[in-house]
Amino acid sequence: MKAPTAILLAALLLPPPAAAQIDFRRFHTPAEVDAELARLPTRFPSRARVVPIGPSLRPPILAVKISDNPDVDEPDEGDVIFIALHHAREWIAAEMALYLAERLLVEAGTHDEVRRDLDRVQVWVIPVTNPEGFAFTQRPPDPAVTDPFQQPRMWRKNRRDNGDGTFGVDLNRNWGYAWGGDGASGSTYSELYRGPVPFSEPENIALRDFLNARRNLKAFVTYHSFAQGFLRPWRYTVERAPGESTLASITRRSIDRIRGVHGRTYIENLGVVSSGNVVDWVWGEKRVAAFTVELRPPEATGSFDPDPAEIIPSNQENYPAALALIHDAAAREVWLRDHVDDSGAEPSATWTETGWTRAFWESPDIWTVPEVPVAGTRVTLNVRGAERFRPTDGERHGPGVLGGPKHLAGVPVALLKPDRRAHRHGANRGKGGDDTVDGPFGWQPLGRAPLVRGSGGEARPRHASTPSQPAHATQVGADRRVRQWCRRAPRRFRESGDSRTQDHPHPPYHHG
Amino acid sequence: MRNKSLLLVLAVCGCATRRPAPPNLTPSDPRPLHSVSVEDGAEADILVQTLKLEPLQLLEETLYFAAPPDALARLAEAGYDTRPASRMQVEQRVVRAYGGREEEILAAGAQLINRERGYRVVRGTLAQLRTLERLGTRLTTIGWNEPRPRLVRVFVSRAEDVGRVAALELDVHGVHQAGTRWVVEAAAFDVQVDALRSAGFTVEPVHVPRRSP
Repeated sequence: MKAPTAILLAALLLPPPAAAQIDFRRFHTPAEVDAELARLPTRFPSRARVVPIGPSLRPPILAVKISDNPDVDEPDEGDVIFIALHHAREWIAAEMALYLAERLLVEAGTHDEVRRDLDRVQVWVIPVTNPEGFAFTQRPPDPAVTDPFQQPRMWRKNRRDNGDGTFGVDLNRNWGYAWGGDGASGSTYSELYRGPVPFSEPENIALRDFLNARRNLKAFVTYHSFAQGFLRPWRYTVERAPGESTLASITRRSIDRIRGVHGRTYIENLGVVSSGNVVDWVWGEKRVAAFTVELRPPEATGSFDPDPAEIIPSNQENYPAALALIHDAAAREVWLRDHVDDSGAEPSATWTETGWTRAFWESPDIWTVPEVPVAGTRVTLNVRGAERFRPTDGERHGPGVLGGPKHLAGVPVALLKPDRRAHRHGANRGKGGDDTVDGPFGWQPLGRAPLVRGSGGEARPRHASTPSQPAHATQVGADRRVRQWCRRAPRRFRESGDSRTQDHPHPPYHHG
Repeated sequence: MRNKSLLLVLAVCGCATRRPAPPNLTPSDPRPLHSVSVEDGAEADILVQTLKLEPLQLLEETLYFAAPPDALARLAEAGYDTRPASRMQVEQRVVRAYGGREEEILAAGAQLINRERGYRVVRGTLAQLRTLERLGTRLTTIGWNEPRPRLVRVFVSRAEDVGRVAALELDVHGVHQAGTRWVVEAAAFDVQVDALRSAGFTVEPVHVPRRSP
């Protein structure tokens, strides 16, 4: 063997040095995914930590936390969560999650904007949410089985023993929002088996509890394959979700960003529904922007076992969309309701130089949940891009001044008077002309967390104490359960158990 | 020579261990089973979490469960009407069925999932499967990879029919337009293929070529 060949072979066979980047030219095994995750804190000690989610699970679900302060939970910073491999056979999804984590960490050291964003949010990346199923797909193929679709590589569910001879629950049909509806199955043998009851699966319980523990969740993405789609709630019905215009705005912007990399056009709709999925739960229960991304290959010609050459372009094209979500979540604004009938279920509009916009980063009511908008409460605003807020009626009547310098922090504002331009875009539109209707119309502060000036001079959010908070329309799912519970259950059920129920409108169950 | 003999022994043992065994048609849990009516999965979830019920299954609007000692009393206090249930009528098994006729399977109330070479894959309650045994059908456990769906293409003429196809609980992989028709690519069991064809849809199997390693 010639010396150069030997050196080349040795380079290929030897384990990579600690600082080496992850090799995305092939799929990683479960052990390799875990090993690469474990290397991230070593490679980026000031930014990354690996945290077990549901540590009692065997194997555990591992998350990498990416933040400016990874050892400390900072609830004043937003949380953005990316998960993958809910379905065992969708290996390319785990590759995307790994790539996202690594590239964020690399760019935190090379790109100022990424670093600034990561200073303001906690990003959690969970590459494998179905570890048992993922391990099962690694089994060697059975030579006696001729149909490749019937090999372990194509396993979709987890590996729950259903007790009837079959195995597995579809983890993305087992979530508690609209569980049991269309696009899922009650048959244990089905690929879409939803489980015996909602949240029957330990993997989902662990993930649900983790999500519930995030008090400032701002965005959620779950990576799947295949079909090349960027899908928004609802997924359980063809009906539009509350906040459709905002969700659609994010979706289309993301699709544009994806297309801008390699020219692939992702679709918005698969044409079928799926109940009990995670994004509906996140949106339905928490009103946090949640999306399912179906990665490569395209649906017409693809499969769950794509050519490994698809991994890198798939990762590359999806990164900018993920980065944009993180960037938006990192922006610290208090958002305004644009009219009094704005329940928070629809996004606010914001005045710009050219008119009212519903652009996501300017009016996401969705950022406000789980806190409830409080009409009339005095808040302190931190307005990004305040030069866009030109004089309005509201500005004149508010104790604070909207407008003025960029990053205007610490300006107190109370309930604002009616604004005619808001009127045109509001609930009374078309009911009497633009400027003729007077009445209970105006902006209200809609503070997820009223911002107060911290000792360091930087505006920091503070959770509001609002004993008379109105019911938030975004908690419809939870409210329905509360009503059900109140109708059936005696009061002492609600008062017993978890002490949190004493001052919490929810009964003692874990729905967020 | 010795090595060859050893391999032969191992192969025979391997075959023997893979031979399907008779299914266990006795209830998996000796504890009494109860049922209660609920409106939906969310309500079942609340009950399970709050009262620490051990759910067996939520079928339609009935939750079947085993209960810790005080749970039944607490349910009664809350206005729930709990009823005893028979595990023989609720617990199910998925088995291979050798011999017999499809009509007998359906008449017993069991579900025919797949038709394989030499046997059928059937799902039924313990009581239903015992009935089949009495009728002379030999039952065994299923293989490790059973039942597995087949890849199919379903052709529909209208976009609205895609929803009808998906409503049969197929694992839909993709939907795309081909000329004037819509093509749904999915994984389906024979029971679903039967239902699709009964509904008038054209279904054709998909051959997936094995990729070289």
